[in-house]
Amino acid sequence: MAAPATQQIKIRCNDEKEFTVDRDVLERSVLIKNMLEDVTEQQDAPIPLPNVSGPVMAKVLEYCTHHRGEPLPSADTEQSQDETRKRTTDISEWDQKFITVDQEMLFEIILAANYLDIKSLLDVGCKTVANMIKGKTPEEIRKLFNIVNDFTPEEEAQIKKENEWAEDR
Amino acid sequence: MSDTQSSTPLDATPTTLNSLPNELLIKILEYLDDDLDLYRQSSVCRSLHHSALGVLFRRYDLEHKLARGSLSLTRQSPFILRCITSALFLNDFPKVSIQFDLDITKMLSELRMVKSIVSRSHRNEILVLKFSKMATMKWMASDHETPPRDFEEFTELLQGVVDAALERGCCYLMVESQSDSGYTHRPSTPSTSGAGIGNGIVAGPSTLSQTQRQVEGTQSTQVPPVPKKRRFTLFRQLRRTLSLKGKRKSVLEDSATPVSITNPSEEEPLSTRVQNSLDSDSPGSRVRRYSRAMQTKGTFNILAEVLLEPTWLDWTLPILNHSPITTLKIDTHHFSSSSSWNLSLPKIQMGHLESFELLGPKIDLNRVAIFLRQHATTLNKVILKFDSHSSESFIPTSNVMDVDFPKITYLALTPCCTPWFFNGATETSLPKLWTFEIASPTGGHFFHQVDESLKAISSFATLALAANSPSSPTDPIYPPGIYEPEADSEPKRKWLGVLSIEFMSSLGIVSWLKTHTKDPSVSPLNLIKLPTISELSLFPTTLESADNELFEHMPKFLGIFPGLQRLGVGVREEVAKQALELEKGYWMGVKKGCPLLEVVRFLSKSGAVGADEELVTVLVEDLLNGKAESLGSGSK
Repeated sequence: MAAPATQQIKIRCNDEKEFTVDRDVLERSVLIKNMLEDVTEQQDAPIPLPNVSGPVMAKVLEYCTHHRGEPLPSADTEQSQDETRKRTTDISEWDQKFITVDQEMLFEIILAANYLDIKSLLDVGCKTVANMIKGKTPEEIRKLFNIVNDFTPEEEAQIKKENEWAEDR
Repeated sequence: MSDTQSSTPLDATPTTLNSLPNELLIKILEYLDDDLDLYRQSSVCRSLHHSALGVLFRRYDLEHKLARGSLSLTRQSPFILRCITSALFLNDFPKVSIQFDLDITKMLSELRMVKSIVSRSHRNEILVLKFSKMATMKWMASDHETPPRDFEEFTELLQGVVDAALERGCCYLMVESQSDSGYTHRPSTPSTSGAGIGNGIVAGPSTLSQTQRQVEGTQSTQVPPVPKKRRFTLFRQLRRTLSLKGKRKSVLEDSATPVSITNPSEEEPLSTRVQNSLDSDSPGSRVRRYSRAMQTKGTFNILAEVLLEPTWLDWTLPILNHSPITTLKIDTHHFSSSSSWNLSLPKIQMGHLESFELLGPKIDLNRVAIFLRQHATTLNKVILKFDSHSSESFIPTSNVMDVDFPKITYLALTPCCTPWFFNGATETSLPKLWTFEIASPTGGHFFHQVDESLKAISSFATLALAANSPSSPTDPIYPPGIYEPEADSEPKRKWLGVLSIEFMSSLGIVSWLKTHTKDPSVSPLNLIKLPTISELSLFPTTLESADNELFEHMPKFLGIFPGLQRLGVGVREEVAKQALELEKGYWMGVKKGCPLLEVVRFLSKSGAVGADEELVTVLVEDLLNGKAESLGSGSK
């Protein structure tokens, strides 16, 4: 176990930024893990990651390093874990601190986690956004996420009417 | 899981919630376990609208339900109602049938939403509203001197929903109260669920309630059932059904293949797509096909049939009197009390009523008479199947025939009410009557009463014929071969051409025939002649061994129909064969009494005209020439 743990892997982000990381840290990404398994021979060329930028990758690697050695959620247990996770939006203290970033970074992390297939990180990101949404009115949400209201005036009026029902419960 | 369409960090635009791919947006929304949060998302912007509704739809398995073309909702689902109104708002579901389940605590607001849904959808063909019995019983409680205010609002709203549905081409509308047990996810037996609709045109209620049970089952796992109040304990196994549905039965029954309707925007898999893949025998596809057939003809009208039960009559009255309903059917068999609905009956004034059917006991004939007279100008079909005991203690004070019924072509009466019905009739009372059915009541043998019926018809026929006087009884009253009243151009001759006698059993027919052939001199039938009858049907509702005696007694009886052209008899197959092997002399005898007789039909099954399977049709000419056997086996 010691030998692969010390193996160093090079990755290159879309902004040409390169990282050299311990293999077990990188293998938290199912995408990279599968890539590495496909390649039998030792390669010196860095793995290109065209969808992730350097700053985001640094953040992701921070997460992966902290959680290195934890068991990966296997595909079989995914379903049942989904069920339990859906109900709970608790995030561990370290993760919470880790994810306290600006919105753009948060969404970039979510995208990267999705691309790299790091399930636990993706969950942390999604839960964080869900927590931000909770209990807010549509107007507050638009403001929070800078979302343009693209309904027509008629639709808007209809929505208002419906919201009266929704809030009255 | 890899996603390549996400934006790259080198993009000029910053990454926001909206730049997340849909699958991630949905993943986030799925963490919102409060429906209210999800619902609020749906009104933030379009993409969130779709995603949030999608999550809600999946949470309650709505997509699946919509795909089946039937949506069933329980009372725990106000948010679903809302999300559907929203979904309908942005994405039209042209072919959705909706099945709601309402509860009194939210009934008014939910009904408002239902109205909004129905009036927003471009088409609504099937609408089923189910109400909690508990809720309506509260309103129906007799200690209310005046109806509570929310009840008035309720009826008003309900009428609005019905109107909106009718306006949008709804041809299957059912308003039904459910027993309390149905609300606590306890499956009711299919037999009770189907009891509301007794005539078999649409086998709907059982199918629908099955669907609904399923749905209740799936939902109960998600939403804990609300503890029910035990305050109203008077729940009986009543089915209260107001059902409006298509009239043209032939089209309804013609459904052979399922209809599949797919919304063009299939790339929106969540809320926009409505794929309709109903079973071919489900009411939805039938009614849908029916309505389509009607529309292609360009004559789409709301032709509706209504089944009523007593305590609901009061609140359905405004709907009845307001809507263009043409068919009304009332079955009193499961009515809990007779007084309230009998009192309500004269209050019904339906401007378009064409067909009226009344079955069962507990019927106040005087009020029926008032009702019939009120609809005298529009009615063309009247079916009164009263149980005999219902009129035993009845003293008629009000005649039906005080007014004329210029449009009635079809009359079906049980013997016990026939004399009453014809009481006071004049020659102009039923100028267009074509088919008369002596109907069997739902219980007991009654063959002795058939005499009374025949006598009543006969004396009425004599009266009416005096005005139309054919030169002799053997004159064809109708041109031979024309059996449809509309086909005749000469209205004077279109009168009482079809007589159908329905017996409880073949034993009943035989015993009845026997009483008249044993001692012909005292038989009241000697006084009866019905020369206008060109088509006669004898239907036992059950076939027994006695039917092989049928032909022995037939000729004498047929003598009272000198104009008979077609004879239909319900018998077992072997009896039909026996009849074909009868001697020529037998048929000569028959022909003597009925010189115009052309065709004899043997029908394998009993029941109403047309609903049975034809075993053999033979020409009397062939019977006389001994050729009938080959023809008989050929057509089988």
